[in-house]
Amino acid sequence: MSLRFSDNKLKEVQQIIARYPEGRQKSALLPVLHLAQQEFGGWLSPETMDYVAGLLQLQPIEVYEVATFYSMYKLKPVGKHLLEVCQTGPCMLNGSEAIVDYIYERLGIRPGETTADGLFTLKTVECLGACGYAPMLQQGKHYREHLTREKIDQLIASCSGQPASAHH
Amino acid sequence: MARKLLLDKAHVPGITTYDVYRREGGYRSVEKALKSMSPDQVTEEVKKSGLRGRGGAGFPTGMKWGFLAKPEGVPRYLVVNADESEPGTFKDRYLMEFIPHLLIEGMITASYALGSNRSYIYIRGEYVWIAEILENAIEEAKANGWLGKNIFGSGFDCDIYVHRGAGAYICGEETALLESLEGKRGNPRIKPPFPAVKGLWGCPTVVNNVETVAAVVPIINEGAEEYAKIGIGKSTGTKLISACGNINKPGVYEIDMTISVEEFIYSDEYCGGLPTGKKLKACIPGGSSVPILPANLLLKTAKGETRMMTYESLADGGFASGSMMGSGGFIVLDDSQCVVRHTYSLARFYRHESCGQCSPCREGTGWMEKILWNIETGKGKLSDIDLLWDIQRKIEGNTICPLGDAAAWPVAAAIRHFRDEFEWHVLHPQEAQTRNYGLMHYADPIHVPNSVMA
Amino acid sequence: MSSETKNSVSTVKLTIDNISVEVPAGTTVLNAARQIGGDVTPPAMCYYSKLEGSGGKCRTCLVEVAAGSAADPRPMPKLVASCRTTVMEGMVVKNITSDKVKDARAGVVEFLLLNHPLDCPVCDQAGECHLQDLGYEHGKEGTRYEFERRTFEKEDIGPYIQLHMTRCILCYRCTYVADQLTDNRVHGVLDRGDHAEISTYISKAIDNNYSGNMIDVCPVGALTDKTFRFKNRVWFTKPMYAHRDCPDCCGKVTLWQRGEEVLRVTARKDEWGEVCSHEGKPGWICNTCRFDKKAASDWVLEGPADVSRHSVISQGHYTGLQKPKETLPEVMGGRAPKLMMDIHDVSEVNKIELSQLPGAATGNDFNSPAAKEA
Ligand SMILES: Cc1cc2nc3c(=O)[nH]c(=O)nc-3n(C[C@H](O)[C@H](O)[C@H](O)COP(=O)(O)O)c2cc1C
Ligand code: SF4
Ligand code: SF4
Ligand code: FES
Ligand code: FES
Repeated sequence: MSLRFSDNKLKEVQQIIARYPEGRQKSALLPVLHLAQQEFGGWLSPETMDYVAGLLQLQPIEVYEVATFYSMYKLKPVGKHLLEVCQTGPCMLNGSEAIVDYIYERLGIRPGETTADGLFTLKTVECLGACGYAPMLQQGKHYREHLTREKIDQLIASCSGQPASAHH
Repeated sequence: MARKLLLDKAHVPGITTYDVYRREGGYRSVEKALKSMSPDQVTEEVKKSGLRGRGGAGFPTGMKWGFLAKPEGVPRYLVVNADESEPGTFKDRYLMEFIPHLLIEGMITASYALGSNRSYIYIRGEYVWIAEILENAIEEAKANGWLGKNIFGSGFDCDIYVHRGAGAYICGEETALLESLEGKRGNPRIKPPFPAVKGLWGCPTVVNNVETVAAVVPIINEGAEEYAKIGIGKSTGTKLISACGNINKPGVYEIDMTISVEEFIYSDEYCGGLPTGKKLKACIPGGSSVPILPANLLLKTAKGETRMMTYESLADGGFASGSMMGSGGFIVLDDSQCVVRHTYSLARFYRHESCGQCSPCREGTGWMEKILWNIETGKGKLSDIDLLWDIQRKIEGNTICPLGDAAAWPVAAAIRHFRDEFEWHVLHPQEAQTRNYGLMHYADPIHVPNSVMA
Repeated sequence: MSSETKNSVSTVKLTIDNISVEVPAGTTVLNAARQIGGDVTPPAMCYYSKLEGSGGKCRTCLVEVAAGSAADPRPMPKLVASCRTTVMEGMVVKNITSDKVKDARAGVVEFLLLNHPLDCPVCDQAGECHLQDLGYEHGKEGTRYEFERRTFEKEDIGPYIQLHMTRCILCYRCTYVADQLTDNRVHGVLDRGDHAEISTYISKAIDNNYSGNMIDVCPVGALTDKTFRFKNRVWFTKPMYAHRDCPDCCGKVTLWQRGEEVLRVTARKDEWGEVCSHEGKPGWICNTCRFDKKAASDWVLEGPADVSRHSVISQGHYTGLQKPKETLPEVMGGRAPKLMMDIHDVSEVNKIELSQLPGAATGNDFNSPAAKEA
């Protein structure tokens, strides 16, 4: 399979490049990688990264260097729903460890693991800038804040109910 | 009720839209600056206001702008630092989410002062929806003539772009941020040269925090003198504090820098005190990087004076008995919390966020994390405490960027003020697993007046 | 000397450890110290004068600036990286006369060795490793690190260069070589923090006619010559200067021989362990000279190589078998390196009776079961 952005997305790439002065298209790398991750299965395969390198006229290694530096880029496939629980100090003061434990109780996965059905991946992450709304987790684009057991239950129910369709 | 300059309109319904924002007096500062002031006059005004950088270091903003090199024919850039990743800090998010046009307005005025025709907002990648809010606001501003070419016939061109990061605390450090904006790994640059001379794409650049840039709006609107009247000494104006941890009302508060720490914690206008039955044990008043203080040094300085929520007062006593205003991330620990465990979690954070360029930070942060984990889980030795002290001492000041210091200070302060708690963990490994060391002499010794009780 | 000191007209006077030196404006403190030489020269693990942008990372070259300049004699608040700090008129620099520097440097050395495997007995770089030298000269005895050392997955980067990531100190020099000497860089620094590593990500062969120079700039044994025949211990080989008429590079090399055999070819190194310059140009060599010309008949021999400062120190250390000739005090300008960090303790190199071996020791001798029992 040779992968390619849709024409619409290619237009978006052009718009991103246009945010930077001429000849500075390397600056578009972070946003284009976000786009690629969203479009091509929720993670960045070497093939995806090579494609991005081609689009921005970069050496593939320049893309690998960047993709491996930032924690939001996933270099391995993840479950359909990625739950990233903040574990840093302020969240810990408000019970983030209990949230991680409760997710294990419900789904049987520890941080770094994916459920057998491929629906959920659990990760612990560092401060997401929501310390006042702790404990919290990030799910895709969304922050789920002031977490309780009930909220985790609801979250799991709503995710499990959805048909397994495209990523958001 | 304290004076609010940034968030006073934040809860007007519909304020995120241009129309409401404008109706409420928005974009007046741009009109005033472009029509009646020269760029240098704007900078002068900011200098006179005494505004200090709200990103953490507290460097005088006007002075920073004055350092910007202005070589002929070379573009200059304003980059707004919205990376906001310091644990305990979530104030910029609040401002951008609830009153995005305030940041855009401040950016246009600041860009005018600095001569930046292309300004960027570098926002942490996880704030996806806030990036969208900002992009909408930029579009609206542009549609209404506040951005683009020859803004209102002034001859000044300006465009603003949002650039999302992708998960790296270090990209809050200004030169790492610029590297990241150039599409590279967030490795801080070796200085000199400073961004004011060689910044984004090698051009003179000013990097300012979101709140700093937003504060330019009231400074221009009300005049520097009015602004400088608020606050104490060199802490002028208002400051956003994001309060979190074990308090009744976590959230973002705009304070004028005239209130005491005690009032901030216990008054209903702010944190609303600690949950019933809990006592104040410790506090990290300015984001995870600044020294933790036990309750008795937090509310009063070592000299016995009331500690105020100002740059100077929070720093009173230096690192021996004081802390810092930092980024305004106010983290409160009650008596059920374990300082060792909390310090461990911060050490883990810094290990995770080190860019790995320089050896003391790359190796030292991981080492400290491992030792702290041992102590926390009852596997530590008394000599580990001295070892930790020695490691942090050898990181501090010896690294490329201040992340090394930021990783060292929390460990140093925790040992300085809570050494007996570390020792207790070592000497009572079993007990340390099941209960907390408790308050000992740290607890808030000060009577909390009824008037400010929750 | 580095290119930065050329072309400048004005000069600047400063003192380093109370020794005055006059250098062209724009020189770095480190290069000014190198003009004095000897003990006052800070060790440099990442800076490389022939690689633009290098330096600033390892922090071994930290010095104290007791007075910033004649115009502004205030001390600098923190120690500074001498490799990236420019000299000023009237600057007062303290290196070995500063307790702060000695203390910080011991710390840096400890950090650099923290996760280092200390597998010197099986490392091809042993004997010419800058980290070994650094450990002896500036480190403290023993390690206080009680945790398992970091490991990485092995990666094959082609037929010429062997990558041992566990030994890497992330000096970034090899990435600058790839950027500045070759036309496409395929390896780089991946991941971040204490997981950062040198890699191609996709196990790509590094294949470019100048890529072999990465081996010469690597201060440790992270990048070594896969074609180094018999993996001989470097102090059993005899370095000889030689040249050939190479259409590509300067063709001036050091041959590492045993008897008539050419075991390895490298560029020539100066006293700082950097590739020598010839007629003002860095003497990088091409891969053909390095990897393909392994017969003595390919070369015109010039004579024994100057013993570099680094290999001498190491020979001084591995004295179990043959005493090196006493050039030490001469080369070292009278100073005697002290063994401060006892790598023997950790590496168990002493457990092997080198003099009992039939020929020259090789990595295998240290790996064999007998060696483990010994
Ligand atoms: C590790 C590190 C992280 C930082 N993170 C931030 C941040 O998230 N936001 C910010 O405004 N400043 C941050 N800073 C401070 C910036 O380097 C810089 O000083 C600031 O953006 C300048 O703006 P100001 O003068 O308006 O405060 C950080 C500094 C360091 C060393
Ligand atoms: S101090 Fe840490 S984060 Fe800063 S440059 Fe060094 S390794 Fe990177
Ligand atoms: S492999 Fe060698 S040259 Fe490259 S970064 Fe590591 S130590 Fe430096
Ligand atoms: S500590 Fe969890 S969001 Fe800040
Ligand atoms: S040689 Fe100067 S920091 Fe490495």
